[in-house]
Amino acid sequence: MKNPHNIENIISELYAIEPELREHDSKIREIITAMLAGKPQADINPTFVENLKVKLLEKADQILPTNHSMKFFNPIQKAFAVPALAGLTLITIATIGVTSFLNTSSSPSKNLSGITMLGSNAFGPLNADIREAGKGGGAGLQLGMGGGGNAVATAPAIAPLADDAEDTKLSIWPGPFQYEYVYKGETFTLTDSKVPVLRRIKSITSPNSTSILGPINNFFNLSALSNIQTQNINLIENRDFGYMVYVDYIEGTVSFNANWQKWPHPEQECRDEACYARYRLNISDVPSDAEVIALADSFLVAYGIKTDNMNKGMIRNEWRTAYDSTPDKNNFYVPEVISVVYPQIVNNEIIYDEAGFTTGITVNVNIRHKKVDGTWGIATQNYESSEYDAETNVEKLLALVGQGGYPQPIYEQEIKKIQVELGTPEKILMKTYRWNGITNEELLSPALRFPVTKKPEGQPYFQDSVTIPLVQDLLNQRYGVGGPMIMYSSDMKIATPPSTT
Amino acid sequence: METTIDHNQLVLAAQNGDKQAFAKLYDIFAKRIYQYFAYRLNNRDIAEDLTSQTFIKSLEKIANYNTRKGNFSSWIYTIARNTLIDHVRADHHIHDLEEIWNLSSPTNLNTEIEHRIEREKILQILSKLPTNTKDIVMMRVWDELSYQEIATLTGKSESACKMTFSRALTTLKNNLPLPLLIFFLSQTYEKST
Repeated sequence: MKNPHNIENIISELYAIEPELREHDSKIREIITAMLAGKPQADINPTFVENLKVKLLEKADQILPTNHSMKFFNPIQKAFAVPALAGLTLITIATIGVTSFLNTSSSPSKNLSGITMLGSNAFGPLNADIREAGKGGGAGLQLGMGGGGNAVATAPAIAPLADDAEDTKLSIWPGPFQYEYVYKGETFTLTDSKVPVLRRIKSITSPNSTSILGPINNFFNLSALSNIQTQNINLIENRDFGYMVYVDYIEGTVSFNANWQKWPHPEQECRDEACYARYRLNISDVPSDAEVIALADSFLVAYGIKTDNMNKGMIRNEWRTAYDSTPDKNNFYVPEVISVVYPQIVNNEIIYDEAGFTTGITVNVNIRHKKVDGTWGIATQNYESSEYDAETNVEKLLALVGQGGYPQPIYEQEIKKIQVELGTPEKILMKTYRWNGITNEELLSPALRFPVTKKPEGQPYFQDSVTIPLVQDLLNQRYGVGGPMIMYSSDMKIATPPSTT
Repeated sequence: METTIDHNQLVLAAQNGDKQAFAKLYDIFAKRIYQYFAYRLNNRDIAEDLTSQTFIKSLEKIANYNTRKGNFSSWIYTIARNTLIDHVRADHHIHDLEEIWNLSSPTNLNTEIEHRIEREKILQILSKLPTNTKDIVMMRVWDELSYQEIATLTGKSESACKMTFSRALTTLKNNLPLPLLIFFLSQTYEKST
């Protein structure tokens, strides 16, 4: 039968118009089915499609207006020039701290305009300030269950608690256990004792503040300020389903978020459980991956956000892992948004975060409205490069990988071990953050990514890989002596993690 | 899944000079517009020619398209429909879209004899309907257009289009000869196996 979905749509619409036709359901179905069966086969010739597209694009050069250009950040200016944003209202030019913004705007991206080569160790020790290094936002495991942005620190050795699960088998705390990562891949060697580390150059030339702030002269004497710079601006689209655009000139980043005042929220009017239940999303509400990606693609095209240095969009479906392993699927929280990640590519290598997930431009698609409600990771693409000492001792690296990429606490008594198997690694560029006392620097450095080839059975396990940096400074930062002790319970004694040196 | 707002976002980008946005619209609608012609004319070459004309016209006119006044789908189908009418008038000296139904193209789109027979049979069924009704049935069943889009194309109200469609089904229900129905069902069965 052709397109059963279409048949059902047609029939349900028909019965809404003339309910009495429902009495003749079988015959109505037969007629519509017959009509669809008689639909001519009219497959379009792909060569014709391509040729016409080329012709149209050539003609578009003559007909469509020339793109507006921006010397540093072309796509964003283009988006601003779009008539849809004509109603943009300048809300604020704030001087808030830039680090808070990093939580929702964490990835460098597109328009790689150049890499400046510097001498060795030009950025100083890379393992500076371990305490702050994890606050950058991109290092953790994003579950894609409600907006993203805020990362959860990866703690591979912590067993998942199952207090909320209704299944009695899962409701009992199983006691402490550790994952034991067993390497099952091929033997390999590492020969480079020096590797390049890239640091993103962040700032964008800010606009002339005086011209933007003209109206403020009514409140105080703007000219009394000296050496004024614009740190960030916040723009909104004053229309239904409009966006709020945040431009951070210091960080060199841009993010889009829904202008929530202009988005409908009928569920917020609910005052009883039945109402909440009515607006609750079901698994059947989740569009196919292809549909979600198509929505994200359209958004990027519409707002002129280039993806030249990005791979194709990929769905972040970690929530499905939790869904698949949940016995009580009826009460599972289906996320309001699904993230599509367009992995960044630098020097022909895909960028991963420390948890082994690709990172780049992230587009959140709102499932309820079937619209994009947020995008971040749009950033400057200039880098400085400097060589640093790299680890070449494979045995040492594999020993560290056996802990899951992060130091595990060592218990005095024997505890349960659950095996995770890893395969042959690939060399990647890994994004890390370093706190320099003022802001988080974004670094791209070579690392090994070991794919998880066999996950533990009978429990949710979200990691697809274990990554380990090759730069010695970053290795020492991760495994260095004197790191914070992790306490699971007051009666549990924990020993110091082993040194890497 | 594309939505009206997404199409309009692409239109806005195209109006601002982003030709890739127009290319994306083309990717979304090329097959649908081609099929719109192919279903009605049953001739591949002419369908391709009219598809080209439709998209070139849409490119030339996109600057004037107002995203607040409608949706892109209705707009481009309107261009297609007018292009079809122009073609038929020029080639056959006819002045009414109704007469398109009476044309018999010598160069069929479908080479398979069975499918030609099938199409002729379905045209027999549809011939029992008034032309405007037939057009609405085709747009809804074959082109998979929404009633809103059909209303824009035909200049009728959405509720009138719905009523026309339901009346058409009632007519067919009462008049469809059983042997013909069995024939179509057998065709459907063969396709699904």
